[in-house]
Amino acid sequence: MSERDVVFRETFIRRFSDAEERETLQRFGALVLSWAVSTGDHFLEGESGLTAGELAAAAADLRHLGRFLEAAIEDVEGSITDTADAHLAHLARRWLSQLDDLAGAIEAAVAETEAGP
Amino acid sequence: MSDRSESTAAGTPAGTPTTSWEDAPAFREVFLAHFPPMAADALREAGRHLYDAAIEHPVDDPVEPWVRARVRALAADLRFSAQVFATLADSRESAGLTIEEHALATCCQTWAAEVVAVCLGVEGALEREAAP
Repeated sequence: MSERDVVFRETFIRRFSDAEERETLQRFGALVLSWAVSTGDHFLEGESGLTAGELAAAAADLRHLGRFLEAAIEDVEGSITDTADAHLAHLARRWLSQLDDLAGAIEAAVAETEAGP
Repeated sequence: MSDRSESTAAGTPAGTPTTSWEDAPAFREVFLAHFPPMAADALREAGRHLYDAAIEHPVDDPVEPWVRARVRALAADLRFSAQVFATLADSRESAGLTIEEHALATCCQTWAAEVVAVCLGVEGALEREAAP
């Protein structure tokens, strides 16, 4: 996993069509990450144990992708003129369901761990 | 833009699900997890401003329709998430894990595989759409 990829979401980075702008953002992100890990956790480097908080963050990123997908579907509904896009929107509903199920399972496991035996 | 939830005085810890993707459009939660809740809130807010600025900036010559561009970005983020779960699964080898943490790490291996499966579905659909 590259440090350049840890900070910004791809759904954000790809808003920038200029490759140089994307490169600048990713280098800036890597710099900020290096500051953050020098004073905090290192879980993405595998140097410390697994905590429920780290897993909750990973699950929240899946939830985010689900909401992003949901918004994309809503945006195009009723205005799709491209059959390929219509097919993608149909598939996107299935992916959304899979992501929500997965995030729900992770959140439940984290909650169970935090509740203790 | 959707309504955005207000931060509490103590801040919102990383990993707290948001109701809209626009609440945290720029920074990954696995990055924000490195910061205390108030700092994470500040970064989310900064990320919202960055995103708002970005969407004011027109995309030059989009190479593919917007729906497909968004799905392609989604696939890239899924790849990243799968790597995160795989990394967390590797922590099973770390000394000092509690029994509960070890159980969670074992689950991470399954979750990484499930994210990869969704990602392969997304990437496969994109390839089929791109095929002549």
